[in-house]
Amino acid sequence: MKNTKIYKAFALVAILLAGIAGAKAADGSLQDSFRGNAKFNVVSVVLGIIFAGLAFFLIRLDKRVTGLEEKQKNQKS
Amino acid sequence: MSIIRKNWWKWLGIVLLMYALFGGLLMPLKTGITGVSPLSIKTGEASWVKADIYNPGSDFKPETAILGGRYGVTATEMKFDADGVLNLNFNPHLGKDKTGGVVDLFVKANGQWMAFPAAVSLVKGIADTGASNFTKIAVTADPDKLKGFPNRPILNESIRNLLYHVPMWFSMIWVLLLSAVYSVKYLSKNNLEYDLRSDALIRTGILAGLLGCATGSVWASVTWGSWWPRDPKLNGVAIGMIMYLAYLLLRKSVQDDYQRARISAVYNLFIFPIFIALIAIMPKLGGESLHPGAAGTVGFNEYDLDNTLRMFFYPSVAAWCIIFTWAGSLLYRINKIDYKIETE
Repeated sequence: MKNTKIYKAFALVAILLAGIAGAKAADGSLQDSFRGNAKFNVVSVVLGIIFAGLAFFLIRLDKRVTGLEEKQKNQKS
Repeated sequence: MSIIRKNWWKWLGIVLLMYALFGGLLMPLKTGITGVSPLSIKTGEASWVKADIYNPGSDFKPETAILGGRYGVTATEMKFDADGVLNLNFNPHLGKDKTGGVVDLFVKANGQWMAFPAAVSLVKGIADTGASNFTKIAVTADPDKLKGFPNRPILNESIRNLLYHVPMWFSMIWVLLLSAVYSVKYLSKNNLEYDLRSDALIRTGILAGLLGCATGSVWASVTWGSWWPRDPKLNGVAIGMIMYLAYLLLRKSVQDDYQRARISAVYNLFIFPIFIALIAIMPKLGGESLHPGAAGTVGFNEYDLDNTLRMFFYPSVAAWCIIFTWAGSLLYRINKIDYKIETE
């Protein structure tokens, strides 16, 4: 279980850092920063969201596998 | 080699995803107008209009520029700055009877027309008392000779999102269709493995749907001016997602394995057609959707999807369908091992 806690903390820190970076980029509103570079920035945000979703999926899988490992350990002992 | 042969479809998914990601991001946008200033000019006198040219290329040569709708005035002078600003001098005279209004800007450069709709507002000036100098305009939509993604007003670079936002929905529908197939298989064979497969696929489908919602919301905030615009497609999707979230609750609430599997399968077969109706059929009946192709014919017409986009769009759809099927299979295998450990 300790492992998943580390992953969770890591994910939280990553999300926070991304948020701070995004806020820094936004001199005006958040949407203005999306609109930058002829609206290319919104493409980066979209890709970021998709990979964050995949990372979330990986964290969930990791949690499940950790659970399975513990169950197996308990069965053996 | 045997690993590649056995899991060839996963490798195909990776290759297609890399192609769609790198190709879709590196392909340049065609030359286009991204902004026009000032917002309004007075008629009856000559004034300069500045048009921001995006990706002009090294040999950008403006030929003509027209301000107007069906009738317009041609620019008397054109100067192209090195920083990508095209200065156009217009001398519009509306004439006695006509009042001003918002007009479009058309620019022909290197044999290609570009347009910027609702570019400038014409305000009738006091000097505008003589005859009108507006003539019927002839703007032809030539087949594009330039390479690159189409540079459309409002969309601009964000047209690339077509390759990343839309495949989320395609793969969600694909994964949910697969899960419906496994639900049918469960009901006919009563094998719990099919139930676990169907459940894993629904869960990945919900993930794809949430990603589709989030990416679409961000894109809409920039191009449609709202995080959740009024659109029958969005509301249909919201109802559909709630139905699938209800599935998760329903599954948690039944204890017996076979009963849970049967109820899940029946519920899944009920909501899948409703979900398809909500996202594909209802927006067409409403006819007010902002999404392309929603109010008209099925699929994308030539204005929504040109050949360069198609080169990356279909591989991207295939890639994400494979990635989400792969994710579903991983979840299924974990579910199966979990079930085996529990029942032993």
